Amino acid sequence: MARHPGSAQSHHYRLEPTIDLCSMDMTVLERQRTRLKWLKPQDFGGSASTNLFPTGSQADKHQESSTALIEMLSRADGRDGGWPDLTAGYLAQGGGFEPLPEPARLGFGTGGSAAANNSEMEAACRGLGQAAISRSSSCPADIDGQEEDEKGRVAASLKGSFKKRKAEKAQGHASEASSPKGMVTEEMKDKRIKGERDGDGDEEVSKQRRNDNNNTSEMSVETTKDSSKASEVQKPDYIHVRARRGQATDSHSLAERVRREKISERMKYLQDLVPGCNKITGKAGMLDEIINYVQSLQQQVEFLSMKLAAVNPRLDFNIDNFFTKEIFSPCNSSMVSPELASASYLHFNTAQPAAMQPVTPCCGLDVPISTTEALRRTTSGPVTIPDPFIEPGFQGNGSLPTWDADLQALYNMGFLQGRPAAFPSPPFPGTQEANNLKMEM
Amino acid sequence: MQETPKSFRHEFLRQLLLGLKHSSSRAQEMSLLERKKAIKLAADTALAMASDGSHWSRALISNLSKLDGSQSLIKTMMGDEAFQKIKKPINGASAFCRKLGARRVLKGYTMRMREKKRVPPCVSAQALAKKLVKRRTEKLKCLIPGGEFMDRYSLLVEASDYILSLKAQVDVMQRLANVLACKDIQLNE
Repeated sequence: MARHPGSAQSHHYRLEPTIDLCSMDMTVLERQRTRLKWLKPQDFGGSASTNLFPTGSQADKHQESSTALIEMLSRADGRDGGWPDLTAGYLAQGGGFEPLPEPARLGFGTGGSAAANNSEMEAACRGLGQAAISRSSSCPADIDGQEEDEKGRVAASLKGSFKKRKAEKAQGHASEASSPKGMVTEEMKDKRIKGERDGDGDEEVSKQRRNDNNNTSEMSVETTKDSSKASEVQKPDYIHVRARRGQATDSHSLAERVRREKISERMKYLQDLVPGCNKITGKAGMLDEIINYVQSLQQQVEFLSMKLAAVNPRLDFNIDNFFTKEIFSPCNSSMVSPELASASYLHFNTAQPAAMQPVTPCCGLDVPISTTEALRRTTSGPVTIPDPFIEPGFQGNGSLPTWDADLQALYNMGFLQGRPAAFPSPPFPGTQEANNLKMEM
Repeated sequence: MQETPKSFRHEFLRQLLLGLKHSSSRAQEMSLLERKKAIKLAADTALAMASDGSHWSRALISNLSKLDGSQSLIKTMMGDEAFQKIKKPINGASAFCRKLGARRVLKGYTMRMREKKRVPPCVSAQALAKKLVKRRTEKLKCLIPGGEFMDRYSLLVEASDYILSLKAQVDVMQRLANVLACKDIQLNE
């Protein structure tokens, strides 16, 4: 709703405001009149009765005449608070939240509540329906209550508000959708709504809607209906767009809006990625920061390669004399915990079949060496593996040859990487118990 | 802050050492700068290899393979048939021309922008902001490999991926440098 302050920016926007807003936008008199209009088609076709439910929370004082409605309302009130709390309950449910019927229901239920029922009205009583349209056009905030082309406008606004709500929903869950799919489904959605609005399959639609409503009241208890399951599956396909007052709703502008939405989403992600970027507002500043960061990283790589070249004049990275191609055999990516990490084995081809003695936390390294003599070293007991990156001059026990430090260092590195990211790598203090480095060479 | 998976780092290190091993044979007669170049090349190729499948990595490899003396290294790191696959689109000069053309257009565009900026003193803030964003986007496009041909959304996607990979690259290289430095000291003792 355009009039609602901050509706464009608020992402965790719940449903209550829209409902309130809807009821606020209508004067009491208008509300009653439209409600009367709704009651009439309900009398004609019993199937429309449940459609009143979405407006229940605003209309509960007036509509006791409909028994079906009372039933629904009592169900909703039993959950104390009615419709909005229901949805809140869903939100609390977390992952198992069904997205599709909700926006649809909302689209009919709140913003375009009066307009949504137009299809039934048209089916039931044309003239009344027309009147209701022209009156209800003041209800959804998106419409300017002009006389000409009333229906089209209502449809557009309905679509718009629907989009909006969808946007809120999807943003609330941070659902991300691939671009073409999202677009397509959105279009489909539009079509579906349009089809309903055109009043082709009124009965069917209303039945479906009733189903949805039933689901709503039961969803918090159990996820029963397969329709809700299907919608769970479809959830991430949605992209939220919202048409505000005066915004175009043709497919091109919608697509553009979707694109912009996705871009800003990406920007947010990048903001998290680039340090110091989250204090900056504005796209230009953020892009500046990103550019600087990328440049600095690239320069760092330059610098590091320079450093490597300087440190190692022969480019003779001794490591690859000892390690063959599999330096770290893609260490079982299951190694998440330090325990697992320390227990993981790094298998390498050996020049000679070296017997590995897998002591429990063991790093078995079979290394091809040119010499045939087997060098056996057992560093047993809790060894404090130093951080070779911090204290380079470490010689744990003087007997360790240089390459052993390499092994340890690299092993340590792999080990560090195996740790959760919360563990900051540079200040690795070095006391790594139970790292019996048993090597057989 | 997001982290690259460990497997990525391992893969990168593996590739890097492979590439370094390849270039170590000729290392004796290299100058420092040449060595640095070789290391950089190996590191970049390893990065591209490690994050296989993304647009920027493919673009990076194809950019690298245009450099002199990089062919054999990339070939050894990638394997023959994969290298041929990469080579194919490069052989067509069209991509290169397109790139040049794009650069020229870009240059012209920025020049024009500069001139325009001088002329009208009162531009609407919105238009100015748009311009600023656009200019920076172009800049970012030059930084991300293969970014010239991307639209803004995929540019941002690729940029985030690229940043993550670069971070990992820097990290691994840092560790490697530290290890080597420590070894150096030990040797000297």
